[in-house]
Order: sequence, then C-alpha cells, then structure tokens
Amino acid sequence: MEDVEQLATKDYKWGFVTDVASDTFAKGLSEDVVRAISAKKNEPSWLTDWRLAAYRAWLKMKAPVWPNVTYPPIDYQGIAYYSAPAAPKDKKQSLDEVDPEILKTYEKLGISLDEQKRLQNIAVDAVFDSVSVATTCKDYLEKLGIAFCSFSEAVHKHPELVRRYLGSVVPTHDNFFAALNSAVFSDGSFCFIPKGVKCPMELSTYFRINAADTGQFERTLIVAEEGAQVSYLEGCTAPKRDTNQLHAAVVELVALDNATIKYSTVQNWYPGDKDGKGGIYNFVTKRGKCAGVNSKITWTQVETGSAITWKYPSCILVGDNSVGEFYSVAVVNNRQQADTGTKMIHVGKNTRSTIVSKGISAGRGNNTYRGQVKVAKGAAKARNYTQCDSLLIGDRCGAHTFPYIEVQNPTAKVEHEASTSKISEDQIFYCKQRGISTENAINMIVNGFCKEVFRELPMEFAVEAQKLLGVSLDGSVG
Amino acid sequence: MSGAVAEMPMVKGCWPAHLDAFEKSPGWSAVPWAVGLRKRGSAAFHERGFPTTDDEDWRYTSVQALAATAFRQSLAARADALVSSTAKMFGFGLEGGPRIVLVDGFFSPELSDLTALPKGVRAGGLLRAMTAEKARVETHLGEIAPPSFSAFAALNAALFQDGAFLDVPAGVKVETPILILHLSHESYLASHPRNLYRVGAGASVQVLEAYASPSCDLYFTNAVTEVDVERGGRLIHGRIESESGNAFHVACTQGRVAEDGLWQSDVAALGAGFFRHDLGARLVGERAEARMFGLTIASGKQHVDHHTAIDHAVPHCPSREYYKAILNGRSRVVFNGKVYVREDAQKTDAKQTNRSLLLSEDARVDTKPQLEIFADDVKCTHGATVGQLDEDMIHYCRTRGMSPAVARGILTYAFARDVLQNFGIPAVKEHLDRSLVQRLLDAGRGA
Repeated sequence: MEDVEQLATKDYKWGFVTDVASDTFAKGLSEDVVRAISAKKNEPSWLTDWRLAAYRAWLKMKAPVWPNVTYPPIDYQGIAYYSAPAAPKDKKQSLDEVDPEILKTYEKLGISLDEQKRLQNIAVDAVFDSVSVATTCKDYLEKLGIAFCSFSEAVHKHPELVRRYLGSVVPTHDNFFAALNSAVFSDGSFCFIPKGVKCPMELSTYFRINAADTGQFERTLIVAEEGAQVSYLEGCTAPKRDTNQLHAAVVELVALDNATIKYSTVQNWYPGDKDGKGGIYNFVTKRGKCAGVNSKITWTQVETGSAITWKYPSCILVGDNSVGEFYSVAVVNNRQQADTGTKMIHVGKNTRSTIVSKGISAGRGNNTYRGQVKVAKGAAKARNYTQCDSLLIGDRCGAHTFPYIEVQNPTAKVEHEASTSKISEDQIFYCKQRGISTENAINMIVNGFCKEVFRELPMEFAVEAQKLLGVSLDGSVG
Repeated sequence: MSGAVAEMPMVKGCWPAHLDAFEKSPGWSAVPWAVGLRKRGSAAFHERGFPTTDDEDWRYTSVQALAATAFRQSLAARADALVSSTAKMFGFGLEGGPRIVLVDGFFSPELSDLTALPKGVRAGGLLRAMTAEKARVETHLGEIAPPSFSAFAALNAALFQDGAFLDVPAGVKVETPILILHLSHESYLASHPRNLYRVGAGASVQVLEAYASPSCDLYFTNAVTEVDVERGGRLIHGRIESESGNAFHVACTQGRVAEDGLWQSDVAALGAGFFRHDLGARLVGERAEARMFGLTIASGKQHVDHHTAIDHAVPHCPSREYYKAILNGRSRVVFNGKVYVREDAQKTDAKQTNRSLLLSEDARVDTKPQLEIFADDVKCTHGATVGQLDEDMIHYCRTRGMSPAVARGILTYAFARDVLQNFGIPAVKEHLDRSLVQRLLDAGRGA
C-alpha cells in the first residue's frame, strides 16, 4: 500500500489571488461597524435595527464548545467585516461594467458569467468577497416571476418578502455564528419562486473569498411558494493563505404547500496546507422549513475543502406529509477537521426524512458525523431512515459518529445504521489484476462508496464532485 | 446545539452537610489508607457540584429532583428482624446459593451465606477486606472508577462505608453463581455502596448484583462497582435493578479486562423511579472481550438512563453490545453508547445495537449511539431503532384467534426475549423470563 501513499500531491488549483482594488473596512467589530455595513448598502432602518439586535445578542453568547474540532480562539476584532471590489458604484446594469479582472477570475474558476452561456441552463449569482458582482439570466427569470438576485438588491426590490422571511427559519439569536452573521452579513443570494412556478433552470451562487484578513458572511434566502419548484447550487473557493479566514454564512429555505427545494453544495474552500497551516473556518448555519403540506427540502453536500467545517443543514418538517432529505459526502485529508451532519425535526404528521452521510477520512483528518432526529409529540407516523458510513484511509485519521435520536411519539419509526470500513488490499489487488492502476482503483472505490449521494446531485455537479474527490484524496490514499 | 449558554449556579444539595458530618465521624478514617481517596472524592464534588442538562453527558437526564431532596445519612449499620425476613424474599433464581447481603449499604454477615464457595475465594464486605486484604484492595479501589469520573462517583468515593468484595484467585472456577444483594429499607436514606470484584488469571465466576427493596419508599442508592478481569479470566456479571418505584438509583460500573479475558455485563432495569447507569469497559489486553446486554422495562413516570462506553485500547479485541427497552406510561429511556477505538487498536470488531419499543403516547426515547474511531483496519457498526409493534404482526396473531391484548403481549415478550436469551446466568435468565411473562399477563389483564 506504500506506493499508493506516495501518489503525487496535486495542489489546490483554485488558490490564486485576483489583484483588484478593493474597498475594505478596517479590522474590528462594533456597533459602528454594523451600522457602517448597513449604511454602505443603503438599507432601510428596520434592517439596521435587526442587525443591531443580532449584534447585541451575539455579545452575550459564547462560541460553541461541543463540536469535535479544535482551533485556537478566533480574534473577532482581527477580522475586516466588509470588503468589496472598488467597482464604479454598487449598481451594475450589465456585465460590461464588472471589472474585467473579476470576470477573468470567474472564467479561471470555470464559472462563466456570459449571458450566452444560458444554454447550460444555469443562472449564476457571483459573490466576490462581501458583494455580489454579477447575476446572470435575471431578465429571463423575471419574466417567469422568479426573483433571483443578490441579497442587497432584494432588500430594495422586494422589501416586503425579505422582511417577512428573513430570520424566520434561523432567528438572529439561534447560535453564536448565526448571530454574528445576522449582524454583519454583507451579501448573498435571494430567490423567490412564486406560486405554481417550476424554475426551468438551475440557480446557482458562486462564492469567492479574495481579500486577506476578511471574513465572509453571506446570507441566502430561498422561498418557494405553493407548488413551486427550484434547484439551487452553491460553489465556493478561496485563495491559499497562511492565515485562517472565517466564513460564517446563514442559509434559510422556506417551502410552502407542495413546494420543492433542492439545495446542493460543493464546498471547496481552501483547506490549508499539509501541516494544517491556513485554510478557511467554515462555520455555517443552514436550515430549511417545510412550512406547508407535502413540501420537500433536499440538501445535498459535497464537503472537500475548509480547514474546519461546522455545518448541519437541517429540515424542520412542520407541514403534514412533508419530506426532508440530507445526502452528504465529507472528505477530510491532511489536518482537516469536519463536524457535520444534519437535524431533522419532525413536527407534522406523516413527515418523512432520509439521511445518507458518507464520511471519508485520510491523512490526519478527523471527520465527525453529528445528526439529530427529533420526533415531536404530535408527529404521528413520522418516519426516519439514517445511514452513515465512514471510510478510513490510513491509520492516523479518525471517524466519529454522534447521532442524537429523540422520539416522543409511539407511532414514529426511526432507524439508524452506521458502519466503518477501509479500502482493503484485496479490493485494490482485484482491480490491479484487471489492469486498473492503483490510483484509478481507489478513485473507483471511493466513488462507489459515495454513489448514493452523487446521484442526488445535478449532473454537471456530479461530474465535478467526482473529480474533486479524486483531487482531495491525492497523496493520501493508502 | 444552541449557542446561548446560561450561567447556572452550582447545585450541591444536602451533600456538603453529609460530607462534613461524615468527615467528623470515626467512619471517615476507619481505614487510614482510604482517607486520601475520600478527600479526593470530597474535593471533586465540591469543585463540580451536580451536572446540569448543559453537560453533554446529562443532556437528557436532569438531576434536579435528586439534588433538591434532603436525604438522611446513616453513620453505622443497623440490623433488625424485618430485614432478615425480607432478605429471603429476593433470590432472583439463585435461592439457596452463596450470597453476600448488604443492608442500606452495609455488609450483613448474618444474612450472608458464603459457606459453599471454593477454597481461596475471598468474599464478603468491602470494609473488612480493606483491612484484612489490604494488598488486594488498595491497588484497585478508586483506580478503575476514579472520583473524577462524575459528581456521583466523587460522592461515593468520599462517603462509602461498605460494599461487596469478591476475589477469585487465579485458576479457580466458581461453578455456582453468587448473589450480591443490596437491600434498601429506610426511607429518605442515602447509601453509597462500593463493590470491588477481582477475577484472577484463568479464573471464572458468575455474579448477580441485585438492588431491591420491599418498600415503595423514596431513598437514594449511589453505587460504584469496580471490576478487574485478569488474563484469561471470565466474569459473567448480572445486574438487576429492582428498587422501589420512588427510589433514585445512580450507578457507576467500570471494568478493566486484560488479554484473553471476558467481562459480560447483563443489565435488567426494572425498578426505581430514577435510574442512571454509567457502564464502562476498558479492553487493555489483546483479545480481551466485552459484552454488554441490557433490557429495560419502564412504565409510569420512570426515568432510565444507560450510558455505556467500550474503550478498545489495544488491537484484536471484539465487543458486543445489545440494549433493548420497552416503554409504557409516561416513562423516559435514554441510551448513550460510546465505542472508542484508539489509534493502534487495529482489527477491532465492535458491534452495537439499540432498539426501543414505544407502547404509549406519552413515553419518550432519546438515543445516542456514538462511535469514535482512530484506526483504519476495524469493523465497527452500530444500529438504533425506535418504533412500535408491527401492525402486520398483530394482524397475523389476530387471524389466529388471539385477542389484541394477547397479541401485543406475545410480540412484546418476543421483543424482550431476543436480548434476554443472551444473559449469561441460566437461573437468572429463567427467573427474568418468568417475571416478564407475569408482568405482560398483568398488563394484558389491565388492558
């Protein structure tokens, strides 16, 4: 197996820095900074007050200590809370006005912002540091009644919707990082799919951290009205730096009667180098509320990046017959740490949830699955199936499973299964015998292990994810 | 999983007073070498107080009611006629065999019968053994279940006055199971029995540790049991918890198993209004094996919390864990099973299963099976299910002419029997089987 461990290490190829002039706040956090962010975005006073309330709540909170990860305490005064490329004003009517350097960056990342690329059937909102720089296909979507724009734009264009749904799933005081986000969030995406509309294309947001010593605090809100359907993708990368950067995002999903939301993430923030130097702290709160009957929310995530991941995309199943799904592949290599999983809160009758979590640990990585399945007293005939499997590659890594199962209704049926295994020499030998190189054999086995999750991803994403997995594990597999 | 942390005042209840009173009594320094352990226990409790539900290990179990009760303490053993007759009431299938009886935490030589034990086996009260068998006790006491383990283990270390002691020398095989009966019969009394079992190299023994009361009083038993299984030794360790429905029972059972040794723990949780059991096995030699079986039958307002931990510290060790619970009434059952596989513990084979059957609207189950794995060449699985009786099975029974109550009774019995059949002491298994049938028949008649 030794030779396998020697396989060439590929670099993090998204680690370049774009040289653009930027408008960055001085480091530090105070009520004035919160007000300044709000003013910069020309926000209505209710939103400024909302941010300030969150900030005051945050001051009284402590960072969670229960996650199975270790990191030095974060100096919240050592972070710049706003950074935007110095563009000619905030308004950008067309792509021509976006700094060509930034366009080049996205081109280099393989994300085309060209309107012509609509044939790919993906609309993109590109977020660069603290602001959204471009959103494609807006006009086409507007004709269908779909609002897809940056969050700052939504605050002005759809104030009543933002006000109604912002914080309705993740309240400002929900947890330490959600409170921080609520106070200083800069931008993000907003999607609103009106009654009965099936969004004809994939909506996607691409997050890019560029500036140094900044934090990224984006906020995404997706609302699907009665009978609406939408599939949303999220991707992210960051430059390679020796210092850790904080990313504390909040994502809220609301599905009304018969609505369906599919949210897919490929998280590829810079994971730090081999010795664990640098990398992103990815502390994210993602939660969806199946508010209406027969509604459905599906979370699919492929987590390969970040030095530390702390993230539990959850579903609150309020509507009767609503469905929550969570499919996850989390890979840790070198010194990466991940504490991720989901929460399925069954409130309505006949609610169903499925959790499939695949954790892969390599190098000196530590991977934790933490999931909660809660069946409230009124959730008659609730059903949950949980499967979480771990694959260990090498003997210096760790795999941990912490499922919390809380059942208060006797008609509920909850099942949890977990297993841990490794790639055996027999499997590799079998492949090699058939002329498959060790590298390909491992890729094949890992992909097979993750198949149940990958098939939930939109096709283009699934291909990307498979490639990404291969790269993430390079140099570690043994 | 919330970020808001409220500062809670530390709760210590009546215990600082108990610690003070005991420190001034002759019992505190009756065995001089144990004073250090008592001091460590007292200091640990003063430092941490009772756990709150913010504490991850006590997330689902609140000790508020326990902490708020003013218990009495007994500074010396008492025996009266009532006790000798009641001691005979509890045999758990082991009637007539060797028995160690303790009353309110004190060893009772009159009620115990140790005549049938093979030569070399030392059994009896811990207090006496602490002097007479000092060398065998001192190296273990407070070492396997240290006072730092929990607030309750700390209290026990400071306040224990007696308990059961069993030492089976190398190579001795004890054929007849030994009953260790802890009786409680005084209301509002707190007792802190401390047991120590040593199984020498290649020795084997079956022990049933039972906690019972003839009354329905409110009292508190805070037990600690330390187990040491040496190379190739075998201990089949039954534990029946059959205390009063109003009693509080907190137990900490910790064991260490050397190479080729086996420790099997069979826990039947039947009584006590509040029961918390911390059961931990540390596998320190290759091919050491731990088996943990548990059956909980809860009803009324019972609260039963099983916290188990199996620590695979070395390679090539198997472990099996199978816990089942049947819940009725407003009862609440918690299961938290941890399996650790340390960095070099390759070829570990660990399997853990937890199943709960909810039979009433108001019952509640909180399950948290937990795997922590730091080695790659291992086979570890866990599974947990929570559900009710299968409607199809009930229907099947009904088409064969059974009443709904009988159908439910049979299916519930089958659910329980599945784990019961693993229990290691045949006579105890039969006794539990019979009492289970009786319980279900009674429940069926009630329905």
